[in-house]
Amino acid sequence: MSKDLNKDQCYVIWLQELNKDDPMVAGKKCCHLGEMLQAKLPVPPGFALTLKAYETFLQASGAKKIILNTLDKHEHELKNDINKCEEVSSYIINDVIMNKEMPAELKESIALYYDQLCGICGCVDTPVAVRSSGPVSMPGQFDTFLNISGYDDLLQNIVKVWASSFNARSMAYRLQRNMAVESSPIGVAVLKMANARSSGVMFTLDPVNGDPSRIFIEGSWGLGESLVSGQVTPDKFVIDKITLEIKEKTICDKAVELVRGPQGHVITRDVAPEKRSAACLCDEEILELAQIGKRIEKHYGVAQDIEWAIDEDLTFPHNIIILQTRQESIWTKKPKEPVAKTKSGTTEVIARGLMQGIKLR
Amino acid sequence: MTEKRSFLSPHEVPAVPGTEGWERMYPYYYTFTTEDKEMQEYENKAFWYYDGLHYPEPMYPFDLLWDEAWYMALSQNNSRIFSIPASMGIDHRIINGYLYISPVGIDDPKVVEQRVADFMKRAGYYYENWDDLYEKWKDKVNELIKNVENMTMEDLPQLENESVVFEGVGRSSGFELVRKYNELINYGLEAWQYHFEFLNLGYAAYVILADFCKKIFPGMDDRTLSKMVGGVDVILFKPDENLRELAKLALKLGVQDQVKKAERLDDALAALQENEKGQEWVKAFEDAKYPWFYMSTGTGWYHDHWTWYDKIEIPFNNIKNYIDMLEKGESIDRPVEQVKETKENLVNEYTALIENEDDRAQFQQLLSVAQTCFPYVEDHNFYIEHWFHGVFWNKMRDLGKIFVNHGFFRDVEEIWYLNRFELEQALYDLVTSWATGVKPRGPSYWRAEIDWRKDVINKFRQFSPPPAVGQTPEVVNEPFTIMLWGITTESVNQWLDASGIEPDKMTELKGFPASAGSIEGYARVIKSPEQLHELEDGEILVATTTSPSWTPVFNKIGAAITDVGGIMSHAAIVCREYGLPAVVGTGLASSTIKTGQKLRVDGDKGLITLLK
Repeated sequence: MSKDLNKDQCYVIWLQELNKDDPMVAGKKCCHLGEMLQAKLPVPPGFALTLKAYETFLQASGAKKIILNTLDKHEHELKNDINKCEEVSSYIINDVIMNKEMPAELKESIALYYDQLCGICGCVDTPVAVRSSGPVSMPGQFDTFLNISGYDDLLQNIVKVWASSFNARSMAYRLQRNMAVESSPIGVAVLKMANARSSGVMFTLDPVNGDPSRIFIEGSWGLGESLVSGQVTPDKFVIDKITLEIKEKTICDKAVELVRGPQGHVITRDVAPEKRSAACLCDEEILELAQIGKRIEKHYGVAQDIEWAIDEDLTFPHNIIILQTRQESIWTKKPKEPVAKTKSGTTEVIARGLMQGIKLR
Repeated sequence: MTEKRSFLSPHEVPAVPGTEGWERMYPYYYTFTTEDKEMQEYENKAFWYYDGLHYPEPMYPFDLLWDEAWYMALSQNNSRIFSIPASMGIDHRIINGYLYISPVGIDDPKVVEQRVADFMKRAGYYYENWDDLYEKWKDKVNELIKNVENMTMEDLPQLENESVVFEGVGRSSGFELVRKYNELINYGLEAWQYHFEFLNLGYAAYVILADFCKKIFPGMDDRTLSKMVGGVDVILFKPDENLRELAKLALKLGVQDQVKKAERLDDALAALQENEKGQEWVKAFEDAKYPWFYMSTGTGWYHDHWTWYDKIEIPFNNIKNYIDMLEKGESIDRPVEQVKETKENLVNEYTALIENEDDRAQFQQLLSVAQTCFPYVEDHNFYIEHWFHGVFWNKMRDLGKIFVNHGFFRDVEEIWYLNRFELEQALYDLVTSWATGVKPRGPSYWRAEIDWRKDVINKFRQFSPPPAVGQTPEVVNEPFTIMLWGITTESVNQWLDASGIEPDKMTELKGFPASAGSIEGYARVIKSPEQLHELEDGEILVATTTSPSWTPVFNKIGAAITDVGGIMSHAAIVCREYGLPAVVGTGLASSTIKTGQKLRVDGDKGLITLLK
C-alpha cells in the first residue's frame, strides 16, 4: 500500500503531511498549508479533516440518503428557482446535517489530534480557526469559523463547515455549471488561531500596475476579516522587493477591529484612540513580512496573494504568521505584451527609443 | 495632449534695475531678440530652462567660454556627428546674467527615419569599439593637458633677446603672446570637443535602458538603476581615497600628532621633515598630489572653483579629519566589496523577475551597453572640468598678471570680467602699445568698464532666475535634457504650478528622490563653495547644485537638497554613496528656503516639507 493511498484513507491528517499533489485528500487549502509548512514558512500548526471524513460523516450518519431524496424531489424546481434553492439549502443544513451525530471513530480521531495540537501550543482548549478547503478553488463559497475553543465547539463547527457545502450559493453555483449538486466533498483545516494584533494581505507585486519589483501590504488592527469585509480603510505599505526598502507608507484612521472575545468567537470593537492613526506594523515587521513574501513567491515561482497576521502572543520575528497564500489572480493571468518590440540589435533599440522621446504633456 | 500651459515669454522677463546694457558683456548671439522677427517667434515657441546645474551664479564674461564650448560640442555630436534621431542641438541664451538652454527637436518623420540609419552605423561603431576608443581618448586628453601645463605666459621684454635676430626668428614676443592666448583658448575648446566625444552616446544608452526598465518595473528607482550601471572604481573618488590612505599612513608611521597639531600644512611639513618617518609621510603626500589635487572645490566651471592645489589646506584638513575618525575607531574605507556585491545582486534579481525571454535578452543587452559606457560618463569630469580647467584657470591668471603689469587691471582676478573676444582685443591693444611705445587705451577703457560690470553682476545675484521661460514642448528627445537636467512632465508641471506662488507661502517642494531616507533638520543655504565652512553638524545642505569635491561636508550634513539636477547630478551620486537622504531638481529650493528654517526631507518621495 503506497503512502498516498494511506492519506486518502485517514480521517484526520497533520497539515505538514500534505503536499501540493494532494488536493483530493483534504482539499486545496489544506495542501497549500501543508506545502507551506514543508517550505518552512511561518504557518500556524494544525491538522486537516479529509474528504473521506466528510463522506463518512454523511454516509454513516444517514444524512446522505435524506439529502439525495430531497434533491431528487426538487430537482426541476431547483434549477429554475433561486428561492427554492434557499429553502432546500436551509432544510438540508439545519434540519438534516446539523442534527446528525458524528460517528464515534471520527470523533475519536479528531479528539486525538486536537489534544496533540493543544499540547504543541501549550494551552488547554487552544483556540483554533476552522476553515473550509474545497478540492477545487471556489473562493468564498464555503464557511470558515474563527476562534473556536474546546473539543465540543470544535466538533460542532467542523460539521458547520461541512454543512456549508450545501449552502445556497454553493448549490446554485453547482447547478449553474451542471455539476453534481448532491455532493461537494470539502476538507477542513483546523489551525491554531493567531491572536492577531494586526493582520492583512500582501501581494508580491504592485496590484496597481503589475510591477513585479514591488511588494504591496495592506493591514489593520485585529483579525483580517475587518479588512476583507471593508469595514476599515487599511494602512498601505509598498516595499521595493529587491532593495527591501519601504517606498510608501499610508497610515489610515482605523476605527474598529475584530478581536477574539472572552467566550470564544469574534467581536468587533472600537480601536483605542491612540492606536487609530498609528501604523499597524512597525518597520521591522514590514520588512520581515516582505522577505517572507519574497520567499513564498520564490517557492511557488509565481506572484502570490498572501494573508498574514501578527500574533500578539509571540515575539518578533516569530510573531509573523502566514494564514494563506495563493497565486495572484489578475496580473499573473494577464497575457503580457513583451516590452521588447523587436529582436533588433541594441543600437537600433536605442535609436528607436530616442525617436519616441519623453512626453512632456 | 493635455492643456497647453506656458511660462513667461523670454522677451518679457523684467530687467534688473541698474543693469541696463548688460548684453554687451556677452557675445551678441546670447541675447533674446525682438529685432529679428523670425528669431523672436522661434524663441517664443521654444522651451528654455535655466541651467542652474552648471551655473548657480550669474555668468562672468570670461567664464562663458565653457558654455560656448559645450554649446557647440554637445550640439554637434547630436546633430552632425552621431545623428541622434529626432534631436538636433541645445540652444543657449542669457537672461539677466543667467544661462537658459533649449533642446532643438526635429519634426519631419522622414528626416528622423534617415537619421536612424546614420545613427545606427555611427553610434554602433562607438558602442562596439567603446573601450579601445576610450583608451585613445585618454591619450588625446593627456597630451592636451600636457600641452597646456607646459605653456608659459611671460611679460614682454624691453628689447627682444638677441637670439631673435641671430637665429633669424622674425617673430616678436608680442606676437607670440597673442598666439599663446589664442592657442590656450583653442585648447580649451578642444578639451570640450573631447568632453562630448562619448557623452551623448553614453547618456543615450542610459536613458533608453531607464525607459525600458520603467516599462517592466514602473516603480524602479533611478538610483537603483544607477547602482546597477555605475562603476565601482570611479576616478572622482580617487582624490579623496588618496587622503584616506595618507591618514592611515600617518597612523602607521606614528606621525599623526605632527600632522594633527599643525595649524597649517607648511608647519606640518616642516615638523615632519625633522625625522625619517615624517620624511616618508611627506614624500607620500607629495606623490599623492599629481594629478589628483586638481580636484576642484566646486564643479570646475567657474574661475573661483579653486583646486586642491590652490587651496591646499582643504585636503590637509580632510586628512586631519580622517585621522580623527581613525583614532575614534571609525572605518574610513569605502565599502568597495559591498558596492560590487550589491551591484551583482541587483542585476541578478531584476533579471530573474523578467518573465518574457525577449525582454530579458534586451534588458541584458541594454544594461551591458550602459555599463560599458558608464566609466566614461562617471570619469570624464575629472579629466576636463577638474584637471584641465584647474590648469587652464591658472594659465589665464598668468596672463592676467601681464595685464596688471601694464595697468589694464588693478588685480589679476579682474580678467574674468572680459569675455574671450574682448580679451583678445585687449591683448592686441597691449602688444601694439608695447610695439609702438604709445600708452595703451586699455587701462582707461577697461577699468571703468570692469567697475560697472562688477556692479551689474552683483545686482544679478539678487535676481532669482525663473526655472523656465517659453512654451512646454510635447516631447523631449534630447538625451541630456532627460538624464542630466532631469526634465520630466512632473518637473515642468511643478515649475508651472509654483510660478504663481509667493515663496513665503510655500509649504512643500518636490524634486527627484535621489537618495533614500527621511530626516528633519535645519536648513543651511550655500550659494558658493566659500560658505561651506558655515555648515554645522546635522544641518540640511541646500544649494543650487553641489560637487563631489564637497565630499568632506557630506560627512557632516543630515541631507542634501538641490535646485537642479537629475539622477546623475553630483549631489545624487555622492548622497547615494554616503547614504544620506537627498532631493534634487527641486527648481526653487535655494531661493525659497532660508538658512535656519526647519525642514523635513523625504528622500524616498522626493518631498521637502517646510516646517515652521
